[in-house]
Amino acid sequence: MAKGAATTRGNRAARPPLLALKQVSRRYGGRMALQPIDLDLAAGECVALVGHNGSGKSTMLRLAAGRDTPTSGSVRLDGTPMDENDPAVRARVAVVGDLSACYPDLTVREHLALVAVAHGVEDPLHWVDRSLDDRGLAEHADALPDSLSSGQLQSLLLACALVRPRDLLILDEPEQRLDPGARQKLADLLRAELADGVAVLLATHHPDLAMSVADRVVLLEDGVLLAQGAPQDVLPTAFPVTVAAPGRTR
Amino acid sequence: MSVTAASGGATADGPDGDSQDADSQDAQSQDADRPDAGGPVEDWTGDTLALLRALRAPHRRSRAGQIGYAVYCGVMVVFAWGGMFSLGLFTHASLGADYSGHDRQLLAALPSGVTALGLGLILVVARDALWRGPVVAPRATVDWLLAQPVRPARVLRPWFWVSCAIALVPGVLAAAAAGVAIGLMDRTGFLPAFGWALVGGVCVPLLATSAAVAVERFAGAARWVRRLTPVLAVLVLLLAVQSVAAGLGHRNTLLERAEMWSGPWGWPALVGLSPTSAAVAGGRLALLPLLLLTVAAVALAHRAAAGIPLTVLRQRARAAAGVAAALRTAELRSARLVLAQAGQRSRRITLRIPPPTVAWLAVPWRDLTALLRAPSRFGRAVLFAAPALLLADPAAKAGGADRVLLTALAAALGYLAAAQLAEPARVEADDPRRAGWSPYPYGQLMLRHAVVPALASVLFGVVGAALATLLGAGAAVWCAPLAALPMTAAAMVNACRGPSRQELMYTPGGGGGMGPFLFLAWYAAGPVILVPALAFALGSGAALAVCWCLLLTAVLLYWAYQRALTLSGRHRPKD
Repeated sequence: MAKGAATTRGNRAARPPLLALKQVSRRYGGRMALQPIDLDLAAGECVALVGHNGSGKSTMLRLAAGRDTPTSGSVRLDGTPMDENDPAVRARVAVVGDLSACYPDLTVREHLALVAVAHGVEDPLHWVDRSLDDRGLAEHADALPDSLSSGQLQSLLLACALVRPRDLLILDEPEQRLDPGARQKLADLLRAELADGVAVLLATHHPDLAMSVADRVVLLEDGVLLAQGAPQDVLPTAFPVTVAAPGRTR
Repeated sequence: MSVTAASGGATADGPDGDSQDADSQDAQSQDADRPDAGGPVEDWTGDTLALLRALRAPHRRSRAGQIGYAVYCGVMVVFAWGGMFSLGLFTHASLGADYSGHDRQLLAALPSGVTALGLGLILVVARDALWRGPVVAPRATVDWLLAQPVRPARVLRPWFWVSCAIALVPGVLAAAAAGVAIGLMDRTGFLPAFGWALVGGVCVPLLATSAAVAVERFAGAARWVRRLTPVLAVLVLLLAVQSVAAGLGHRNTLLERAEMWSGPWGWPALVGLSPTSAAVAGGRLALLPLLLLTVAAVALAHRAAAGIPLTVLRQRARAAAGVAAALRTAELRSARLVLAQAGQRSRRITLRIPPPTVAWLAVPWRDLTALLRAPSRFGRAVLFAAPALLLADPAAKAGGADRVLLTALAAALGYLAAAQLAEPARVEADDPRRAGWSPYPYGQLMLRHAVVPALASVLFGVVGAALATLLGAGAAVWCAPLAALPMTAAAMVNACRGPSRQELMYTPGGGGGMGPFLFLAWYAAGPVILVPALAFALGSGAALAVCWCLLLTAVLLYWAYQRALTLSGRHRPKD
């Protein structure tokens, strides 16, 4: 498998956007949560949103996932309006966000099987086992959700995104609740996703994760796009103390 | 065809030939490395639901057993209490007993009464749809199942029909009660009276549930419900007053006819009265539009249920789960907070008042700011205070038990008014860690939280009493500003209540079944002490009343202080 070799940053930029946000803004009552913003995301490209709490990252992710309606502008997936109520959109976009409520009587394996079957995955059991291995959940495959730690639940959500086909992966602070080892695995996983042509939109507070996987970083503050560009250019502005020496691991 | 391939196809349309090559390479590598779907447009809902049914079969069986048992208990209670009692009454009637003594009053009260009931039910169910609604799937279903590309119709519609079935239960019970009452008093017989009442008992709940689906589905409908709620609530109240007045002999037949013909809320009254001696000419004709409208509304709601946005379903599922969890632990305050949060609109009042320059004004400033940003609390306080004031004069003029009863009722309403203004104290008591900003010890802080509600209550009392005096009320209304002080103190006692003490519900040796009463007494300790004490104090002459009220205020404030100390002790970190 030639992950990372088939796609380079140069040819990704030349592709037509899979996800296109045009002059998208969001107002909640009297508060402007997101000022008009443009963002294109091509297949196999990763954009990381960084910024302080309340800067508009999650708002932007919700808009990008079709989970919220913009006050102005448009969000399009392959040229068609993004709306999570459309099953075709849900078939292509995997979202890993807040901890979801699980079925209390279904095991981890059964949750994943349900997702695989809902997407018509061929040989679902194979993919379920593989996702369990990838996310380090094999030991807990027959555990009920109540017995999982919050980090393991986060891993279950990631596994849920892996067990199904996806063109766009949207992750809201996926590093939360993960230990350093699991975070490293997450970075590896996202790189593999990019190599497979999946577009990744990610909000993170973790500069190392953004540095290692993102092609572009978007810095938001109070709903305004402050900077956008290569990670090594933007991250030192966003995390002046943490990012000491810019360098890509990819 | 895989979804991956679809993605590749989309990008292959681009102008970059290298990119196309890269895509095809990607696609080839993905064949082995990513799950392959049967096709992006294929529907796997049937398979998914079948798998879910199979996986959850044990859970479903256990749940069905619980529901079956609950239904059995409900049916037994209804038959044992209502059915046997009613059977006895009809048996006596067949042996010559006469129950027609109140026939005329009942039939006079029914037209506006049934209309009020119909309109009230539609309003309540529509309001419920603002935070929950008839289509509420469990959180796991929304988060896991509906997040996948399954067709929501097959998941959501059964919940709509479950809500319809649940809504029918009170409708059928009300029709049965009407059948017994009319059948006995008007000598119509149970079956005809029940049969005609059942039309309304079935149609109105179904109409209300269907309207609620529209509220849940369409944001515009929800906005209209919010706007119309005050108007409709006043209408329901007026109709209820009219019904009581009609029962007492003050009827306006023309107005009643207009109300009954005005819409589906009044049509059940026309149909229900048709077998009685008070039948309205042509009343049975209302059956046709009522049935047609119900069928059309249910059909439209069945269709709309499938289109409820996932965001709405997610919010509703969380709110319903939060309220259910709070109710299971008897945390009524938490349930109210969840409800308030669920019904919160994005546009909020952000009125600012200049911060104080002296430290002792910090708590009053914080309380005043909180109250000014929730002006509806003032509105509710006025709503409770107005009838309390109106009762003060007749209470003073009445004698004996009536005087005590009316004073107690006025005191209870006054307490509810004062309690509306004590919200900032409650917020502080919800989590004593919030008081970390305060330089005062927790007990003192809670006492300082009483200042603004006390001043506002006294102000309300003075203004209300002045208005009532201008309208011709007696001097008794001037006890309102005085009574505002112990009322605020009682509100502080309740504000410092702390976490729910569910163990009281199961108190052993409480006299058998006394647990719930003990819990209620603990839950409403402030008003439980306030109402009888105030009724006694205000009945003891002007000078003594002042002394008693001040003493009661001091005692209640001391109690609130002690409760606050206990509350802060619970949250203090242990060494």
